[in-house]
Amino acid sequence: MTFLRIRNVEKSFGRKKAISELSLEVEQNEIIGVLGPSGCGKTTLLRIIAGLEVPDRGEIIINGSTVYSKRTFITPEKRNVGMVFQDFALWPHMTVREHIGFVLESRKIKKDEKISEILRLLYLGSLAGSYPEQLSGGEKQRVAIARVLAQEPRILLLDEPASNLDQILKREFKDELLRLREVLKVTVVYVTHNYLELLGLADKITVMKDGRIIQEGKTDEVYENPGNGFVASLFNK
Amino acid sequence: MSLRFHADLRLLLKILTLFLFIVVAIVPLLCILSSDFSLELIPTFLDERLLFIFLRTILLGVSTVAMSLLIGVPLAFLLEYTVLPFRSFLEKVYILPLLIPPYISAIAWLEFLGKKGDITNLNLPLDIYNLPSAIVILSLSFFPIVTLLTSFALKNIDSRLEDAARLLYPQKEVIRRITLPLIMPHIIISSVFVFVFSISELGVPALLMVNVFTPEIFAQFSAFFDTSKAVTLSLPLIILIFIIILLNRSFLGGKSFITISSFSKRKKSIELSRTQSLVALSFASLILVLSVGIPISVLLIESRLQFSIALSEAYTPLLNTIKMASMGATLMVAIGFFLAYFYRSRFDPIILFPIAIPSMMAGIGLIKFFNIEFLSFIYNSFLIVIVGYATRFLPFVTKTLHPFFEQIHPSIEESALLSGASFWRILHRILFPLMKPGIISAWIVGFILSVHELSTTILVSPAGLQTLPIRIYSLMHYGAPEMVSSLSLILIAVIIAPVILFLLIKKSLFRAVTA
Amino acid sequence: MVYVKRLLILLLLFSLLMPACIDSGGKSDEVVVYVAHDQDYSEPILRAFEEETGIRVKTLYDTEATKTTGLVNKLIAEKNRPQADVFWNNEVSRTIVLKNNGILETYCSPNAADVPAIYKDPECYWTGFGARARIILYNLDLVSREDAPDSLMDLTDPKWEGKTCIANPLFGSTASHVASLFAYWGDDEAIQYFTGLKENNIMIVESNGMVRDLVVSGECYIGLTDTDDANDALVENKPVAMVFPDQDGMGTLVFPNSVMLIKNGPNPENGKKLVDYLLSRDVERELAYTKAMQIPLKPGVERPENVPDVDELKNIPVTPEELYNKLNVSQVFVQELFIR
Repeated sequence: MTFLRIRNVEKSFGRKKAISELSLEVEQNEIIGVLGPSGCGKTTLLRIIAGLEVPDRGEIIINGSTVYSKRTFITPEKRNVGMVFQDFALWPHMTVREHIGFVLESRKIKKDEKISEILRLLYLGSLAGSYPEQLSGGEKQRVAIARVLAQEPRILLLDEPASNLDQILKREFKDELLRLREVLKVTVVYVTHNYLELLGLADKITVMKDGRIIQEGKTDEVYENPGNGFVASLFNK
Repeated sequence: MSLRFHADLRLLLKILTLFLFIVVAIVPLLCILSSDFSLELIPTFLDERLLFIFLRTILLGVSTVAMSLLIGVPLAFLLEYTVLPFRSFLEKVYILPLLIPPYISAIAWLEFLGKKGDITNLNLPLDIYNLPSAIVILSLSFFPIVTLLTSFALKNIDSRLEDAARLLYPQKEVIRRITLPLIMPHIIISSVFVFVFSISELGVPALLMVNVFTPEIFAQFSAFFDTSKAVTLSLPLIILIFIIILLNRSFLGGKSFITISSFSKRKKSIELSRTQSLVALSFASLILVLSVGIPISVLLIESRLQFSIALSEAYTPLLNTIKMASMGATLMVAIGFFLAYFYRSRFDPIILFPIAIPSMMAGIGLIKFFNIEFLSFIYNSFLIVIVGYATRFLPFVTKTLHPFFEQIHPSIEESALLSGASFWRILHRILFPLMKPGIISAWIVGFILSVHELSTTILVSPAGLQTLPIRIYSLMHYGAPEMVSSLSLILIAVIIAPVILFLLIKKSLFRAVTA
Repeated sequence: MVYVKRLLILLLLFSLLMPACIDSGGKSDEVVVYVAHDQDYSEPILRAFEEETGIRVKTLYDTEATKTTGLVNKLIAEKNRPQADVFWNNEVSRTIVLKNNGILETYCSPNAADVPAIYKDPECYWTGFGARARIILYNLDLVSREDAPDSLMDLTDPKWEGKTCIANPLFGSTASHVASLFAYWGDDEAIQYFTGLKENNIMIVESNGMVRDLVVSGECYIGLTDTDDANDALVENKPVAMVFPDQDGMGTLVFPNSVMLIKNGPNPENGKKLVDYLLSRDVERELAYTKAMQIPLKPGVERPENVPDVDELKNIPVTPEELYNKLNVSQVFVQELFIR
């Protein structure tokens, strides 16, 4: 079932056209990878899905309801979309516990047990009172995941989350994501310029260039058969 | 061999800087504190009248901070967060109130609200000889400090932190729970500055006959010739300011949640509805009119545009002022650069110490320290005036440089060191170029502060040397409003000129630095 | 961009060298004088001295802002190594402060001989010239000639309640005036008078100039100020009039400029010459004809119509020493009373 439908979306910043007539469909529970070089518009695409950026035209439909069209705009906090950023963007003035509490509060959940449960799940118990600057890269990663668990979004967007991680953490992150998809039944859009992150993770891959989709399909298929030299270069071929 | 030379030069500069700082800023002040301080006078503080005055002083400081925040923070948000019409104009213009010396604003307001009846026969029955008026005038002068620092913080917030919260909460909540806490350290520092400035200000309370501590200390010097009592009276003020500086340090640990990183510095743009835009613009315009429009217009009208006469009259003081302020700024940047480089924020209490000392005291201290045969080449020349500027303003110049240094990652220097560069080379090829915007900003700060300095200069000036503020003030006596107003406007123009220059070449500067 | 940078560096270097050219600081024949008198009136006189004698005059002016005391404080602070030769003060009480601090040197100028005894120091520490007086200025549109005040006591009259003004009584000539009343009336009566002023809601403003401005604009009907401040308004034909108060009673406070030699100054001989010059009849005449309308003390000096004859003007019979002795106690009192 199509969970996320993006139809003919366009977005310009001043004279620069970031996204041109882009259409995309993502099935429920699918992990779709968006692959492209920097400046191709993939981050803008994510922000449009999240509602942080308003397109110039087009439609976005999540689980059957229109969140964006000429007549409609559902604000970000109402879309139940989660996002994980490069370097995780943890809030420097909050402790780990406060991070989780902050997210739960937005869902009007005030249960301390829930916080403890999430802390336990991610082995963050002893770090509950720590601030982001006191955490290692791996610990920050777990806090980012904790945020997602607390939010239980229906769509999870990832913006180059693994770019600054070492191999071990990259591996762990991939495993966490797969586990999250299982537990939360969440639909995932994973944006990156590094194809390696998508292998073994994404069901489908969409290749973007200059604001357009130039190839899409199952991960293995795209990988084996890049449509042109440009796509091939993205796979280091 | 080169490594040892490097270490030696570095050490030499470090010691030299400390030495100069101590000689210029600390010793004269300690001089007067030690020679004229008298323990026996302490009981005088229990006088009911003095306690009232002290409380009133604190009230003045706190209220000015509150009002400056009320004006400055929303303005910063409007400029950085919204698509406000005329935004680019407003962004440049909101600094103006800071460039107009507060006592000149007070003079203009007094003329406007019917004291002389010359300018407006509005006969407004508005009595502005009171504390609230002083608070308003001071807030209108100092709010740009709040706006500047808040804007800087807002510009450099990692917007993804807000995005992450925006997915959970509506915009207002995000501002309340994420944005504001993140910029709080900057807001607090700006509050500290506003507080210190407002309670150290002498001109405005004196003109408006508001009895706070600074006029009281001044009276001891000038009416009672009791330097000891003046120094002793200064203590509560000095201690208060010192405590605030220390609290500031321990609270924030000198930390800031804003790092200049390469991450999203997207221009935030919240669209405003038509009514919202109108309200916002009205607010911004009102502030501008009150803080800049009225004082400048009043001065223009009162001056009767007699600029050429004023210029020919005050040509020498004007030139003296420009030259000495320039030299003073250069000296302060020279010392301040190394001071900021070698001694970072944890040394703030020492670096900021001179701020707490009232200007007249600094003057007397300078005379006592420098008026000896050995130092006569300084004392009997214009150099003493420049030293006076440094004594009073080195802290500000140094603090301006700190954040710029903090932006330069230590690895930049370390990699140069490892490649064999001497310290001189590192300075020359790496630090100076990277610090260019910082150096220029600091120079401008030093220049502006020196140009309108009055009370210390009066005391230390050698005979035959007059500065423009002194000339303006002595002219006030006669009721020569045309001259006073013309020269005040010229003074303001002198202050504004380097700022405008800076804004014009700013783009090419920053481009060169980030390349 | 490179050009701009080079230009800026050049400008900076240039600015570094220029001031050096102005203050040559050479050991030419010179005299250093600190002046607490208005620059506009004193400067021409000092330039004339320079031309006549060829001695270079280096001056330091004080401003209304520091109420003349910037220079006095500087003189005291410089005691161990005086930088000035002469101090031209515009009143006498601070001169006594300097005398008592041992800053002054005696010098009996030949030109001091014909100055009346009450206007000079018996031991020649200082000599007076060109005086001002503490007067009442009132607004002609608001105060009729019959109601016109002629005594200080008028300011306590309830019919002028809230309509009187005076400069900050801690500073300047106002402080001298207050001290003279304490000296003449005695503490108790003076305290009564000033309390009366407060109960009559007298307005305190920053300076004598402001008092004048407020009387001109009508915000004050009556104000206490100095003759030179008042005259600034009179020559502009503002609707105000000046009264020398209590001429039928205790008299008006008349206070002269005072000139003195600084002990161990750098150029003592030139200093004496300057003192002589300032005490000449020509200078008193010139000062009388300025807008400051300073009253000549020497007999028979030519003066314009609006400047009174010092012999005809009744002065409060208080010596400068008596006034000085009351300075502290009077200032403490008015500070308690008015500056809260």
